[in-house]
Parts: sequence; C-alpha cells; structure tokens
Amino acid sequence: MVTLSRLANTKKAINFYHANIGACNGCDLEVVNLLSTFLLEKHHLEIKLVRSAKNADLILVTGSVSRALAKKIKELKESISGNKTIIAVGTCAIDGGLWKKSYNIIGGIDKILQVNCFIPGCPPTPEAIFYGLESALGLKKKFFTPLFYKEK
Amino acid sequence: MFKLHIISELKEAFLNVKDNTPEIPKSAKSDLLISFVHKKMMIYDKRCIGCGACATVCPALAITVLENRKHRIIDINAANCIYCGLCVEACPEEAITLVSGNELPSLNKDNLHHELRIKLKRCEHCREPIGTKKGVLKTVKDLFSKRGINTKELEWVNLCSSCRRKFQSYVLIRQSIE
Repeated sequence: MVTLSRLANTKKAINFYHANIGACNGCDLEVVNLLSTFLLEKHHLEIKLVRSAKNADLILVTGSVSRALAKKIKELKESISGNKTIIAVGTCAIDGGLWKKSYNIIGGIDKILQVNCFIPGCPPTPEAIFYGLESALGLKKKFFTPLFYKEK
Repeated sequence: MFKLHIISELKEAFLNVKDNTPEIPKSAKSDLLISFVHKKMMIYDKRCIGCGACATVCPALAITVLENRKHRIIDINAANCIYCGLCVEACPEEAITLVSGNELPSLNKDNLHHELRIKLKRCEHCREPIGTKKGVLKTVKDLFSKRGINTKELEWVNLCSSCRRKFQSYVLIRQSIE
C-alpha cells in the first residue's frame, strides 16, 4: 500500500498483474479496455505488465474462486501476500456472484487473500476500474456509502 | 453546385432518420433499453412498502427479506448485484431504479449493503404478522378506487386470513340461529 503511493508520486511504472481465476471474460475485456484507453496517460500513471504475481505491485483479480483452485492459491499465498495491493474486480471476485450458492465455489478472493479494494459491477466499466485503482493508491477519498432507513 | 447537392442529400437522410426514430418516454423503465451504462442503484427509501417483490425476482440473490419483531428488513447487497434491472420492472412503487453512472468502490466488503426497515402490521387477534403497514394501506386504497368498500369490510383488514375465517363463520352461525 505504502510502496504504491510512493510509486504514484515518483511517476515510475507500476508492475501490474492481471489474474483470471475462472471469470466469464466480461471483466477481463473491461480490464483490457482500461489498458488500451488513454485514461492512464491522462492521469500520468504508467503500467508495466508482469508475467508472474511475485514481481507485481498491483494485482487485479477477476472471477470467483473454485474449490480446486483454492488449494493452489493457498500454496502461492506467501509469495503473493506482502507489500502488494490486491483489487477484486466484479461481483464474482467480491462474493462469488451468480455462482455464490454453487457446490464447487467457496466465494470471493477475500476468503484467501487480503483484498485492499472492492469494485462492484457486472462487469464494471473501465472508468469504474480506474477509479478503484486510484482509490487503492490513496488518490481518491470518495467511497461507496451504504444507505440505512428505518421507518418510525 | 456539386457540394450543395451533397449537402441537401445528407439533410434529407438525416431528416429521414429523425422521422423513423421512436419517441422516447421519460420514465426510468424505458431508459434502461436505450443506453446500457446504467450501473448505479438509486433507492428512494420512503417509497418502499416492503412487499418483497424485488427479492422474488432477483436472479443473483442480491435482495433478501428478513423479519424482525417490529420491522421487515430488506437487505440490498451491491456486492452481488448484476444490474439486470428486473427489480426495477417488478417494483410497484418505483422505489428502486438504475441510473447512468458507476457504483463507487469500497475498501471494506461489509460496507456494500443497503438496508431498509419497514414497520410490520400484525393481526389484532392473534398478533401474527400480516404484512407491512404501508402495504396494507396500499391494497385498501387500490380496492377503494376500483370499487367502494363498506365500513364493515374495513374491520376485516386488521385480521389475518385464518382469524378472518373464524370470525366470519361465527357471525354466519349466529345469524342462522337467530
């Protein structure tokens, strides 16, 4: 978290890793759209795509976690966790989404790894993902406000 | 001359397109069909009557209905919502709509909940819940506008279905004896 905000200030390239763990490719296309638009250039953020999660500073996760894949992620947990920001993109990554009650799915990525930012949407638009990325960096301070109403 | 000719053709084409486009009604329901980036919930909390029609329709199980001692709790989970708009069509009071824009992110997963608590109405005789106060009022008003209600009928509104049957049969038996 700290390192990333320092990176954003020094304007160095951010090591970026996109992990698809069983998404329907809806969120993935939106992530690719984000990389191909001029949104990043406009805000002076440089992104460098990295091959493995070990070298990354920023990890975008799309898709729900199946029971078979959970074992492998738990094995990688030590190398992934640490000084890295992990962002869950889409409803599946947050809480399982449409497959929440399926027998082979345990839920969102936050059950295994510590997630810094949740971006709702099915799929979220590139602007929404970029906003979430900025808020994870600590540049934006406006978040989702839950509504509570009680009739008297 | 040549340029002018082209421009007049273009003008005709544009006018034709304009004529062929259907008229756009202003309600939020019809807006859903036109542009697809409607990914933000708007909840008018005071309109909700707590009927639970949205919960029965939702394919992603994002809306759940629970009952408290005093209130009916409607929990709308933005973390599960897929923004399909079925609840918008189902809602009789237009209390929930989708508007253009994006949902904001949050740093905490438990924060992604909207919660509405609407007062329950209980049976006057056996104290079992019938529905919500606003819901019962709405049905009475609807019936009143369609066909007039007698003052005797309004007494049955405060009772649950089983109690109503008991009292009705009691009254009928009494009448037959007399």
